[in-house]
Amino acid sequence: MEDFELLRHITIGQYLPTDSPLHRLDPRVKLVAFTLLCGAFILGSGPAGIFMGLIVMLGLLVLARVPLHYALQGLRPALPWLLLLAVLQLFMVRPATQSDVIWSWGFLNLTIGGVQMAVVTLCRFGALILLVSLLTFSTDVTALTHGAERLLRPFQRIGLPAHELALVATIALRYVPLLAREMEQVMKAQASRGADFGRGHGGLIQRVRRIFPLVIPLFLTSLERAEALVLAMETRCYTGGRGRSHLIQLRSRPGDYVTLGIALLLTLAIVGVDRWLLQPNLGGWLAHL
Amino acid sequence: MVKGEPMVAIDSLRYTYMRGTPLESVALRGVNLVVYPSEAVGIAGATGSGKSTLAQHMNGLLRPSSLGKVIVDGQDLADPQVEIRSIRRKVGLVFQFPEQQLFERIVGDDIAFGPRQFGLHQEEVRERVRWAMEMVGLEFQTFKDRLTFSLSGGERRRVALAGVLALRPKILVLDESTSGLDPKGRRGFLARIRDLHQVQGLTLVFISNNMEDLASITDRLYILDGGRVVLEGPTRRLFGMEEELSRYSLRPPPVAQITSQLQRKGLPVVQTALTVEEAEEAVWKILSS
Repeated sequence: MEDFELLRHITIGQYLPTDSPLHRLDPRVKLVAFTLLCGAFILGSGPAGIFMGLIVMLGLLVLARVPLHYALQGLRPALPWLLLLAVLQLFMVRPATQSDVIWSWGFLNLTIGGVQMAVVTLCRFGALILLVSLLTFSTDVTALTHGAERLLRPFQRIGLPAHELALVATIALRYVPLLAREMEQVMKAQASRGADFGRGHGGLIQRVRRIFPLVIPLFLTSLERAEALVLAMETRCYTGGRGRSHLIQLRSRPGDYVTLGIALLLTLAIVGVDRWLLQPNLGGWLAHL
Repeated sequence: MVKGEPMVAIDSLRYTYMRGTPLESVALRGVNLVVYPSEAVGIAGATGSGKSTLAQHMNGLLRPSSLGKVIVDGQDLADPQVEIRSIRRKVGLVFQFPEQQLFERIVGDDIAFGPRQFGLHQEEVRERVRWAMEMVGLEFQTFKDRLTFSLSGGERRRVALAGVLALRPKILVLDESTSGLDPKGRRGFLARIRDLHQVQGLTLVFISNNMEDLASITDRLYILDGGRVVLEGPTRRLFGMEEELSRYSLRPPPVAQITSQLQRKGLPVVQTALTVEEAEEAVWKILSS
């Protein structure tokens, strides 16, 4: 059956106004912490660190008052790809010794290391998706772009247009739900005229032809909207970032610094727990480098 | 009053958007509504009262969940056996700003989209396009090969209406389809709708917040508020109930307000006026008595 509620199954990018302690943090702090944790999830290679990261993410989601089942729904669209990746990982690790091999068939060898890699990969991406979701669940677009603009400001000296980049990002993000809503509307209108979006039958040409009644109206309304936006900005004498003051003044409180510290510690822990704590021969590890 | 079997029968219908997410919002909380053949039923109510959600249930864009029933022309829409496209053929739904759904380059092709989707013969399609264009007051020979996007707003809206009429529906549902037209375009559009109802005998569901439009088209009226039907009855009777309507921030059309005021002053006014002519006649009667 057709389902026209396009936004219902997308959780990434959705803001949930639950007014939790996480919501009240300075967006700059959230962005820095986000970047740190992102790095940790990507660099951390040991199972203990990644598991810890995943548990921390779930804890943060609870702290942000986001229903866990809703947050986990966001993993569903990515699941097929993640599973494919995990299956590939399973067979990627070459057996070091014969005792590592659990099962083998032809050139394919299933090793303990491979299983571990696959599980770690799954958890790593799961944690990353939850991290991105958490950032958008707890930070609205305005705060996010203000934060990004402030953080990028030092780079203005080397010619980075921080304000313009932030504006582009705001507009782009703001348009996502609008486009989804318009798409929904056009889909409904064409379905009312007998268009059938429910099934994927027919050849390639037929399928492409079925997209026209959606894409053309969508493009037209987007162009019209962009033109209206340009006019609206011109009439309000918008001239770019130079000399503009801000309605929202970001101010960091003690809690923000504490958060930053915690994020830094967590990052070190996720990356380091397997390397330094669980590997007693630090010297051997250094030699390994 | 013998009216026969209802065309649309909606029984304690409930509907929730974004169900199962923290963003769910209840749109309908138990709505009962009946539309008899050849009737013109109006639905009014403030933004967010559930009008559009209700309209989209009438042609199966939204399907009733476990709660509530929607029966169209004897078929229960909750029944998965029901071929939904046959329902869409019976119930033509015209949205707000329907010209935004146009996508073909040439007017005739766009109107033919619906009939072609149902696999009708070329001759039949042509005949239907001709009929539909005639119904909306666009001359077939002059307009069929015109470029869609070179037309005026009012003309494009008529093309969109013709695109729905070409399906030859038994019921026409108009969801705020007159908004945004200039006075001339609006009068022309309304006159076509009235003809379709009075001359062609089409059953109408007319959703609008314009009380004058409702007065000039509908026989019976439902007032929605917060997802419930709060008032229902003949249009003339409801427009005589100024106080009740104001509770839902609606006001009867000016002519109806005038006759109500005259009545309150104790002057002999037989009925609430719905058109300027009726009000004029009432005033003449008072003056000559």
